[in-house]
Amino acid sequence: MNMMEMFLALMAIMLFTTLSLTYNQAIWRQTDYINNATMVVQASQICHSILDEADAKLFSNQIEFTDIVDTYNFTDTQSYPHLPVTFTVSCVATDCDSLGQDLETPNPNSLFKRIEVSVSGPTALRYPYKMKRLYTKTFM
Amino acid sequence: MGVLLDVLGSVIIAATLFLMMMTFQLQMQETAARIHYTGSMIDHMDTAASKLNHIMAMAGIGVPVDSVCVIADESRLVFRTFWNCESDTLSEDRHLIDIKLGDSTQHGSILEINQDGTLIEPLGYILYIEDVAFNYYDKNDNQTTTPANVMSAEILLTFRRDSPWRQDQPLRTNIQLKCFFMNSYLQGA
Repeated sequence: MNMMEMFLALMAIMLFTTLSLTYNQAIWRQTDYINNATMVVQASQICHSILDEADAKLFSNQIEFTDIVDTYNFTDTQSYPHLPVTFTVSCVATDCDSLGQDLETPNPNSLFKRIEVSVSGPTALRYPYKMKRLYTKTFM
Repeated sequence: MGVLLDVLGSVIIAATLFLMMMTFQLQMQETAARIHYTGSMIDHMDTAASKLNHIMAMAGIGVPVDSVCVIADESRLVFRTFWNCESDTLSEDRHLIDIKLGDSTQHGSILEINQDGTLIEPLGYILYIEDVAFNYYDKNDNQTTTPANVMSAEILLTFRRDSPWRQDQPLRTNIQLKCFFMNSYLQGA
């Protein structure tokens, strides 16, 4: 085997190595997207359940409207054994205006409160999933 | 002789590379098919979860709180409501809604929703279910098995779909959701 043949063989090896790496990367990337999508669905359900819980407890007067800010400000690690995955759930409640914007000065008597839930944790969930809901005081 | 060996070596290398390329192509096809299947399953999971949330939120309309839930089993939930699940409208008649796992088939099962003993959506809206389990909670979020105390339910769903290429490697996805009997809470729990 002369020098040229060795060079051609080396080039062929490089070409096919590059090809196989490209293929594998494409597969890994697609798998990442799928894993992320699965986690997004679960994270969305977690956000819904926390906000629905706030709705339910307000409906039943288990918490007062003015208690929202105190009750729904927490960060917690929650385990979901059925998946099985552990998520970090962060909940931030604030006094806000009718558009959901923060008040310049917090006012416990504000007629509007906003709860924002953020779910993060497993590597497969690429970005934290966030959901917010605006609550209005009524006098019914 | 030397040339013959060179040609033989080249043929072997070419055949090996050709086989490698074919294997890559087949793997790519299989992966693409699995991703497509899983992607559609994720969409289905999301839809199924929204549907279940909606049905549970309609439990107990016009019914005293302690009479809403009739059966609170690990794999079956039955509740009363003045809501017609089939037409998704309020009703003047009280209905009994029964949620349970249907008979298992080779393609999984359907989460059956019966209204007054009649199966609605016979084609199955929540399908590809392999397993379902319910956990129940009272108004203080303590786990309970007493129907009169049930105010919310945690639903553990396992979806299963056969793999497009390998029947022995089915695709499974799990989801865990919590649904609240909003109408019971509206009555003051």
